[in-house]
Amino acid sequence: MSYEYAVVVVFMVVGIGMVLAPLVIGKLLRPHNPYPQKNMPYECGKDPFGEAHSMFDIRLYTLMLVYLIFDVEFVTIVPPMLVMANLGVPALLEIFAFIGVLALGLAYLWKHGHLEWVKTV
Amino acid sequence: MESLIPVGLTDLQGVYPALNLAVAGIVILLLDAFFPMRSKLLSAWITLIALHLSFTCGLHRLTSGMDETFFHGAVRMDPFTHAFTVIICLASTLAVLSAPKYLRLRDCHYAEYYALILFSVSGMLLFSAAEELIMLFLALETMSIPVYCLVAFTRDNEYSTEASMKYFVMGAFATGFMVYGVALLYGSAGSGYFADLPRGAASSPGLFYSGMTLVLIGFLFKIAAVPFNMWTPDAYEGAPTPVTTFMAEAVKAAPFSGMIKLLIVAFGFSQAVHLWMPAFIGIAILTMVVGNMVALVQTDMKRMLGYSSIAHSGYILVGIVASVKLNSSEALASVLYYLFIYVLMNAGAFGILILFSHKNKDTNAIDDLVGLGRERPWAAAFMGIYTLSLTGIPPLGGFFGKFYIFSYAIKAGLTPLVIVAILTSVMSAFYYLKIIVAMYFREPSDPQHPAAFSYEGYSVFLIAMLCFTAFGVIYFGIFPKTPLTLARLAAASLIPAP
Repeated sequence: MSYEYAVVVVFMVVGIGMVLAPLVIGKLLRPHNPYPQKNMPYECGKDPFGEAHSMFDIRLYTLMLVYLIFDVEFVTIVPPMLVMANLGVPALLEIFAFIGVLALGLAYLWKHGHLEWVKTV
Repeated sequence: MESLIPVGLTDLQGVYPALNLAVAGIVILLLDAFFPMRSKLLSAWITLIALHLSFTCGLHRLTSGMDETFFHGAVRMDPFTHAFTVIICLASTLAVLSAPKYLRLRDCHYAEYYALILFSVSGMLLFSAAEELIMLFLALETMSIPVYCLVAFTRDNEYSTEASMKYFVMGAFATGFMVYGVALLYGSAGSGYFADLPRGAASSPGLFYSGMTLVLIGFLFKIAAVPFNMWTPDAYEGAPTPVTTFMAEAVKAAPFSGMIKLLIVAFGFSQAVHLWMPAFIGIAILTMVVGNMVALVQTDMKRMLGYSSIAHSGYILVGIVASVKLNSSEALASVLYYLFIYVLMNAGAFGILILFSHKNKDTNAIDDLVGLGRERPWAAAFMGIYTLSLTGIPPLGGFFGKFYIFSYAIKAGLTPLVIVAILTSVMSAFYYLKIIVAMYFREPSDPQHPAAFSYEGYSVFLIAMLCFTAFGVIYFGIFPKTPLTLARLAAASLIPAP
């Protein structure tokens, strides 16, 4: 029998315990006082209405795609930022070149009217 | 730390053929957005010029024997890569030449078509140059994603969108295999460079070999080897014919480049070869038999050529197995030569289909070609040349391509494999000759039928493409010296002479 893995078991037990303990303690200590407004899902301060599984406008799809590109861009430029001191100016230029290509894509979309809510065909 | 030195100008010059195409793609998109023109021929010309620049650059580098690494070893521009640059640029040029007529007929002649083709080709060129797993994967995706869009290019056509969806799902699935394999290989070797991978086999063989299997499965998907071929016929049939041309040539040839490089550089040591070689022999046999058998019963030309392209993948796999077994660059050169000829003859066959496509209907069924020999003797003669070459009748290029591959396979002691290959290629004669029989020896049952052979829309590009391919299939069959010398030059960079 190997006791090398015992530490893993201990780790798991302590880990689960650390999550469970506050939940149980909180349950025992806190006052129980629900009312409808409190049970409402939080939607950025507005009262939610309708079903959560409702239909979205297909036009949001295009905007979402555009958003996604720049979302990924952000993720891609953060790691080089962290080591920018070692990389120096050329890396900064490369990042700008990368953003520049994406900006060209945005210009393309803009010109074709994909950013308009009502697209003129 | 040396690895932190950023990319320099020399790196960018090194990947000039790929970079040039990507920039041309962006230029086309922006030009079309800001200065829209009714005729999209400017975009076509920019595409052709960009492809031509990359082609000549590849050819120049191939003859001058340039062999350098860029991006800290992630990209290696060796003669093998240059040879594929030449083949892929040629294939794409042929596909682009065939496009304007068809797209105009379908009312979807947009500049985006050319931009997507250029982005895809740029990925292919990097793919054949990749010497690192992440680079390989990135290039593979750059190559594939535009093709998914291209398949759906006639977007109100339900077949086209269906084919695109199937192709996308299957392709994404194959990519999944590939990424998983890449992760395992990286985990075992601690490095993504091809040359470092064999280290992983020694330290953690389990990870390494499962990674190798998964990566190779991903590749076999892309080259449509049986049993990973399900997407091919549907995608070929549903895609607009010029896109099918592009898929059957460039998108077919490019994965071979990465696969051959990976097989020889990373999986070329004897333990790994002992594992993948039997599997590849089995897959080659299956691919040739299934591809040819199923092609026999097809009535649609695009579908039939799809299955025939599966079968041709099988022949090429025979060549790869033989060249690794012999460890001979001569054998690998025969594979390159075969790919070159295959690109020419296949492009021609699809070109004829495009020549007779109409506004509302494609001329795809074999029955549609009945009587072509009498109505349009030149077109029929060209089609005859392509099909005879695909069958492998001397003195056309297709014969010599097969001949070289099979003779090296016999030299490598793969006689059973060659027997299967020859039997199946005899079988393939049946369905290729069916086209010739339809064109020359069958009477049209419907007297109105010859109307199908009127040219609707006319394209000088397409005619040029047909003439060039027909000439090439004959000329490079009779005088194979130039392409073979270049191919030997290319292959020698991957397998040094003993």
